[in-house]
Amino acid sequence: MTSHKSTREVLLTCIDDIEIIAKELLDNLIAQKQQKPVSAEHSQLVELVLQKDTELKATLKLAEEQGVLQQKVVALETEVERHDIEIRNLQKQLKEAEQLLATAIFQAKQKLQAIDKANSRPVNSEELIKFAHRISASNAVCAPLNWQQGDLRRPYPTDIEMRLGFLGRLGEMNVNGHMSFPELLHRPNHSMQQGSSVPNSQAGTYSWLSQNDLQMPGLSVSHLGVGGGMDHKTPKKENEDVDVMSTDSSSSSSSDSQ
Amino acid sequence: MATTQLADEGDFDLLSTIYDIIKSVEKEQQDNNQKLKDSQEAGQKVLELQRKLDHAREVVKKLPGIELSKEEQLQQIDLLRQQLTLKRDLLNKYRSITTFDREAQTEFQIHQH
Repeated sequence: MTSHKSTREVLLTCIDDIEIIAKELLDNLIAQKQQKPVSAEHSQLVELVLQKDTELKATLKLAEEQGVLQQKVVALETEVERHDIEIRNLQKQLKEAEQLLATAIFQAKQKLQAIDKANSRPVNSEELIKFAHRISASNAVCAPLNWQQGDLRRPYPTDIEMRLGFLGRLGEMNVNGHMSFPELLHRPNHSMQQGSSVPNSQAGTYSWLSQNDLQMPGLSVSHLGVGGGMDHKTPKKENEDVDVMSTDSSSSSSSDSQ
Repeated sequence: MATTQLADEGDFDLLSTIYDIIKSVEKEQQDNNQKLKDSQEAGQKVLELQRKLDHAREVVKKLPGIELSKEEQLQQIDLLRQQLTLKRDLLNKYRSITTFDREAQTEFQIHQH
């Protein structure tokens, strides 16, 4: 038939019914006093009102039980709410953990890729150190540790160094009209012995250069030429430079052995 | 019969008032003054009945827990209990979960392949 009516509805309906029946009853009474009695209907009404009253009392009892049950419902709802809060907190924490782990895994994967890349093309650490020495030999990367204001050393080649270098002495000719390489080599050493104010770094720079060039005098002609056609020998020269560099501690500009 | 703290015993005692009304109406008096008094009394009793009915309705509206029928309420309690069990189990499962370990990692890798 109809769906379950709430107990409240049932109670209110009962009360309304009692009201209606009572009114009918009273109307009947008054009519009875004034006119002919209608006793059959009257007794029916009385029975009806009694029945409705019983119904009301029964429904009230039911309402009482439901009131007790409602307390249980409230307690259960509080517990469920508490668990909901816990679950929400747990969810937040898990989300944070997931984010942290995802970041960590991503970074770890990147590191692994870098490791694979490095392993596929290994470079000798000695070579790296040699190249680092060569790069920093001219003090262009970082000032010498004992550098102070007033120190004449500069991160670029100064004019003195340029003049003492290859291009600077290009104009110097010997008796034959062409440059003699051993003369050029010995010149810087000679001028230093004379007590010029060449700083230590210059000496450092030229010492490795002079040693290497001494070993390969045959290449001097190609270097003098405008466009050297002997390019295939330069890598070999550089390798020899590299080999010498590791054992030569004086090649480093940061050393104070000079 | 005391239902809850909100309702008293006399809140729903409508029958007695109806009975009083009937009694006062059916009183047969010869004296005119008494008749007037009786009719006035009857009128008052009717008003009292009306008042009682309204009061009863008010009380019913305030009673807790009668929004649903009893069956529906029992169903609600069942559902809430089930919910509570599920949530409690979920929380316990995540509380007792073990942290990372090698065995789980190996199992996961095997599962992946």
